[in-house]
Amino acid sequence: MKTLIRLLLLSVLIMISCERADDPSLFPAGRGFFLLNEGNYLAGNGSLSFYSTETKKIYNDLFTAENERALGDIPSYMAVDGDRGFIIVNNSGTIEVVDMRTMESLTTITGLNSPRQMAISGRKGYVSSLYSTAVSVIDLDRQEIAGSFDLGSTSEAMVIADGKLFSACWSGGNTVIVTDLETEEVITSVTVGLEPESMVLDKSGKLWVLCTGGWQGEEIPRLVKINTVTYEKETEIFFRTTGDNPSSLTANAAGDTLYFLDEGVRRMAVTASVLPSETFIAAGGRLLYKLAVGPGGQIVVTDAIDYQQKGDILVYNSRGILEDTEKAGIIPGFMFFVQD
Amino acid sequence: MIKRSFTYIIPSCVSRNIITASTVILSALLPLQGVAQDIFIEDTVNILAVTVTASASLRHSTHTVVKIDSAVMARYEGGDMATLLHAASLLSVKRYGNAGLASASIRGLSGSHTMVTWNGLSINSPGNGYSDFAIIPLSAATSVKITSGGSDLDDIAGSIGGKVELSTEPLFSGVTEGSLTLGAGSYGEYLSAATLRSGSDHFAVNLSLWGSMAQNDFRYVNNDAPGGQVEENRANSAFATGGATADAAFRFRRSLLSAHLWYNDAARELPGPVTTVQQNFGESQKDRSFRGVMKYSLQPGRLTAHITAGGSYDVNLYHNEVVQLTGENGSETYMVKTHFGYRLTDRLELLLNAGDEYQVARSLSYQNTEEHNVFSASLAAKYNPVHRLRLLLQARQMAVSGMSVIPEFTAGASWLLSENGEHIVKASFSRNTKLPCMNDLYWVPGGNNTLSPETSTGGEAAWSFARVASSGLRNTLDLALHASRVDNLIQWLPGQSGLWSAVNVRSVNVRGAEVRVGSEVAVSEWKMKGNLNYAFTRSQVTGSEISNDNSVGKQLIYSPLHHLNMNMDAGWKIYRAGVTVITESRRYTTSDNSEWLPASFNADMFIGASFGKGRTRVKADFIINNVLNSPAESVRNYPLPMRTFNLRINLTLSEKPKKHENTH
Repeated sequence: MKTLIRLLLLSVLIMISCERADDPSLFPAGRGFFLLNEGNYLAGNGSLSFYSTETKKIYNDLFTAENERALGDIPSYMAVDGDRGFIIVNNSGTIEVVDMRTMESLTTITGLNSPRQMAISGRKGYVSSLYSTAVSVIDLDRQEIAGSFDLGSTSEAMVIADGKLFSACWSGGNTVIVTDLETEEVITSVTVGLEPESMVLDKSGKLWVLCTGGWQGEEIPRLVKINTVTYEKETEIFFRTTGDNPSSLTANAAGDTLYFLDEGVRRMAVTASVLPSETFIAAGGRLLYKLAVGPGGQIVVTDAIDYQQKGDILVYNSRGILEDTEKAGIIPGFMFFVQD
Repeated sequence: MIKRSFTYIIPSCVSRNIITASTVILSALLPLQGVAQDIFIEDTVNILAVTVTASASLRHSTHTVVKIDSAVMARYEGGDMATLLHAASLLSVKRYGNAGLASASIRGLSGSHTMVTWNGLSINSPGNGYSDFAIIPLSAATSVKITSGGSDLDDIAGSIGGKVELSTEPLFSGVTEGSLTLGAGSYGEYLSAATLRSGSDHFAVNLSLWGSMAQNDFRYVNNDAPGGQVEENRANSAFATGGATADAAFRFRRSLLSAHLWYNDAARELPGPVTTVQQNFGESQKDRSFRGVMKYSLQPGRLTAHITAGGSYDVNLYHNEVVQLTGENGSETYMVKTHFGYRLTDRLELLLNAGDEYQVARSLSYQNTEEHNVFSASLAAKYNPVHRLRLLLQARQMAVSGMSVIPEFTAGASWLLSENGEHIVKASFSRNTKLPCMNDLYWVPGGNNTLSPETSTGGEAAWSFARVASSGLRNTLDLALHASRVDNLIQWLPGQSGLWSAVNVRSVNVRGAEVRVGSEVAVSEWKMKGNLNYAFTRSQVTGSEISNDNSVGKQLIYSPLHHLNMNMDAGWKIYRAGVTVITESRRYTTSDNSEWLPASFNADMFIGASFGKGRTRVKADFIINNVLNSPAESVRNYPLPMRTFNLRINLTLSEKPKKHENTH
């Protein structure tokens, strides 16, 4: 009898230890995307989610669950360097460096002035700022601020092409500033439309810039295509009226099709010279906030509802058919796709 | 550290300054004693009459009106109105840290639904509709009266949550009295307040001066710090406030003329939220107000007439170091209102109110200097068909520039269950409106000049018990049930462009129960007094025009379901002690109720002594706030101090025995 009890206890112990060893992580590995929920301004309730395109489920509050503390105030962007993620927490002025497999916080970089986005080149990360005209340079290996250089203007979206950093001067600006990353000196600035909000490279290495026309509708919004070698504007496509509010310009993996939000999701070939007259995916009464297109062609949009409650993500296939709707965190915003 | 914008009574060093300031004030007051002896007139009956009449009329009101006990007010002397309301009323106070912006809501609605008046003048900001109770010192009012719900239609414009009435009515007591309060506390807090009142049977004057300042760099616990839980000091949180009120009144036969002035100055650093790190935007704000009111009332025969005219000039200077933004906002409010009552018979009285309120406001975020004019007139009938029954029927119509407003009405009844008035039951029903504030209408971007007024329809039923023993000890119990529906609730929501704008978007159902208990007990040389307030308030969104809105059926943010506070004092010979307990259930911070601040429990206590000789009385209190040293937040990420200590000393010189003190 005692032996039986011992065996039972032993098996229970083995089961427990196996369970611990195989303790499923907070989210499954594999394809999907990380989602930064901005949370309310000054409330510090930003959060991190993962949506698995394999299980078709969302896994919320990953950072808090793993680290037993909040992520911070307005997480706005995520850049990835190998198995480390750099989460820009805008209003906290921090970057959380996390292990991409577990979301464990490895370190917190502090002392940044309203960081917005981050672009990586080599072993350095370049961080834009809503309030400062300086770009902070992050040493990715030491995970600390290594320096900064001045743009002469605040910055938002960043794209690196051919060793040059293209920084969009969004808040009240109308230029894209080009910086040589070797010398960290500004080469030139390209005047685009008012408030360049988002940028993406197409398959030809051309830079597309979406300009909102200003938050008070001062100008008609426009799409501008810039040659990243000559810095010339090759195309300017204007929207209909100053009342249009396009945002979230992105491209598919092939880089041959642009997507953006404008009363729904619109898409156009990079060779097009006019804007699409119809929406590809209708808004359906929702206030769509952010857009991303995955490597498999999935189109994901977020709905922040009243910006004071948990928002939704809507996952469509490449044909624009709704496949899934999930409840995310408060103000679901930036998305970063991972493959395997 | 904020630069002080005026001279304070107390400079930096506490002990030296307490002595210096006391000497100065004593020197100033001593000559007055001689003067006062000549004008001293016995007037006990008059003072008692004022007190008793006020209490009785409030109990007989057809809707809930309460006046904060003067002894409770005395406990918070030198403090701000937000602290008093939180500790001694059923208002739910939301404040950004202990010196930060503070609003107070009544019956589950927001702070902008609470109307605040000072001697009849509305002092809500024309810009955002709120009153910041953190910069209203107790010294600015000798009486605080609270009306719950929107049933009171006597003002020019109304509010659907309720009303806080502050007043500084001089008493024709014949007493000449000077009082000085000095205090010092944790984290560099110093305060001072001085009052002087004098007068005769026909003339009364009050003068009140105050000042306070604090470094306010208190300790708090940051649970979300990147390296794990840490204790930190609050940054950018210093404040300095000061001001003065002056009141004068003259009465002759059946007429009364009074004038009231109030200058208020507050300079505050605005601390940032503590998220993972303590944010510091280098924000600061200065608020300066100058207000004045004149009143004239006349009671010839069956007629009563009151005329009130006043104005307020307010300036708000804001600075944000991080974005290098400096803004100056200003507003002016002018009003004149009249009240006529005519007693047709012994049982029926007709009342006519008419008034006009003109507001002008400027802001960096307005395209122009904006104006707003409200004219209103109300007609009421008060009828007592039988001795025990009082009926009220009142209708008001507002005429507002650029806006149409539905007529408002209130109907109520009170019934004396017992002949001696110990038991009263009452009920009222009303429909009333709240006008959009100027930010809602004109802010760029997002202001919406097509907004409709918010409307509220609802009522209450209440039972009131009061027994005054022959010894003068008073025991009271009040129960009230209320329910209302608010439509066209104005909220700021994002549009397609991501820009926020003001919209009439939701409906809210509010229902709840309120309990108030007051008790005084005397045993041998012991005297004990206690007040307890409890409110259960369910304020739920019932309708929304937002698609997929999960706030429907949920409690409004920052509106606790349960709120309770209790003040207990005990006195033995010259010694006294008291404890205040305040507890609130969780307060939701998101509209879908998915996040909340946990339930809070706070206890403060004091011990002190009060003694006097001749015409001099000294009170000294040692106060411990947050005795249990528990972390707390009123607004998410804006921590309140842990345990703090204060010492307050009050010196009063009077020409009369202190038996009159409880009458004002």
